Amino acid sequence: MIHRIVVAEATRFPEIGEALYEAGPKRGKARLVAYMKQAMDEGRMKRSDPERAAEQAMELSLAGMYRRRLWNVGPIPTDEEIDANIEAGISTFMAAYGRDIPWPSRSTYLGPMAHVNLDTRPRVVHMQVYENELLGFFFKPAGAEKVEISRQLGSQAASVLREAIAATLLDEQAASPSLFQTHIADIEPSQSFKSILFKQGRANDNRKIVVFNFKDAFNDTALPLLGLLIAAFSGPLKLETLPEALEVVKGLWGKLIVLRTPQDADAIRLLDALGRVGAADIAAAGQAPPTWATLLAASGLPAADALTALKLLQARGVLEIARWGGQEENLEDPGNRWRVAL
Amino acid sequence: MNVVMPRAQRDLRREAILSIALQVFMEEGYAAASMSTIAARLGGSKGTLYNYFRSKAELFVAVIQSQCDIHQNQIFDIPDQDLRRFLSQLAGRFARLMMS
Repeated sequence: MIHRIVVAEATRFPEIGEALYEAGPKRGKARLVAYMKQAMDEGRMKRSDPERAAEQAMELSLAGMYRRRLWNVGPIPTDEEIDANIEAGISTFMAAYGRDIPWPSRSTYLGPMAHVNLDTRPRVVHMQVYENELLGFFFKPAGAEKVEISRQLGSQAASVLREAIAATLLDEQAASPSLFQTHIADIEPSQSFKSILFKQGRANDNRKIVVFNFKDAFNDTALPLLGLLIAAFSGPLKLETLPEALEVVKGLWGKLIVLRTPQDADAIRLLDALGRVGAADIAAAGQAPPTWATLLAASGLPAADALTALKLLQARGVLEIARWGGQEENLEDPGNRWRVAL
Repeated sequence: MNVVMPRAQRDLRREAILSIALQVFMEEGYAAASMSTIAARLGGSKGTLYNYFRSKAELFVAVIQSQCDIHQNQIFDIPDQDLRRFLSQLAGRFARLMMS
C-alpha cells in the first residue's frame, strides 16, 4: 500500500510524509475524535481527552502486528488473527473508556419513567428513546390516523420492527394497511437517538423524531411494544434473545408509572415540557436541569394547575428536585431545578 | 494552439493519471518512478502529464490524497451502533488497510 512507499521515502522527501499525514491520519483522526466527543456527550464513553482516546483506539488495533508486517517478519496475519487482535485491543479500550451497557444488562438502566396514558381513544403513543441512559415514553392524546415509525434504523431493522408490531399489536392492520406507514428518517448514521432528539438541550425540531403512533390499539399495547422496542433498540431482535427480552419487559412493566387522562393531563403536559427543555440531558451531566420558572413557561399551564401537576409527579417519583433555588422544601420557588428521577 | 478541454473530461483524465501513477509508484517506489514512465503508460506525452501535475512530488501528493479519500470513506462507512461495535468495525478496516 501507499503508506509503505511513504515509510521508505519520507526521510529523503519529507513533503511526502507530510502529505500523507495531512490527508490520512490527521483527517481520519479528526473524524474519529468527532465521533468520540459525541459519544462522551451522550454518556456512551467516559469523559477524557478525545484526541488521545482516538489515537489509542487505532494504535491498539494494530498492537503487535503492524511492525512485523512493515518489516516483513513472519507470515502475513490471517483474517482471524487480525480480528482476534482487534477484539483484544478494543476490549482494552472499552475497559478504559467504555460506558456501553451490554444487552441485556442495560435493562438495569431502565428507570421508572414510563408514563402511560391508557384511557384515550384513539390512542397515540409518542415515544422518546435515549440510548443507554434510559428509555422514556411519553404518551399523548391526539388523533393520528396512521402508524408512523421514524428512526435511524436501517431499512431491514425497521421492516422487522414494523412487521413485529403489526403482527403483535395491531389486529386491524391486516384489514387496513393504510394505518401503517414507515419513514426511515434520513439521519446521519453516526448520530444516536439522543442527539437527534435533543441538541444543546433543546428538542431538535429539524430532525424526525422517534414517533410511534397507534390508533385503536389495545389496552395492553404498551407491554409487547416495550419488549419489542427494547429488543429492537438493544441489538438485533433474535429468537434466542426473546426470553431475555421478556424478562426485561416484565421488570420494566413493574416500574411503570401510569398517568391517565383526563385527570393527569396537566402532569403529562408538564412532563412533555420537561422533555422539550432537554431534561434528559441532565443524566449526561454538564447541563443544569431547567428551573421551575422555565418549566412553567414551557408547559403553558396556569401556575396553580402546573403546581398541582408538579406535586403529583413528585409524589409518584417521576420528578425530583435537582437543586433548591431558595429555601428548602419550598416547591414553588421559581429557581428550583427539576429533573426526571432515574 | 491551446485546446481547452471540458471540465468533466479533464477530471476523468486526472483520475486516469492518478490511477496509473499509483500503479507505477507501487511497482517502482517513489525515487525510481519517473514522469516519463507514467506518461508512457498513459499513452501520452510527458508535456501533457505536466499540464496536470507540475512535478513528480505534486503528482505523488495527489495520489496520496486521492487514496486517503477513498480509504477513509470506506473505513468510516459504518452504520450507527454501540461504541464497541463501531470501534471494532472501524479498527478492522483500518488494520486491514495498514497490513496490506
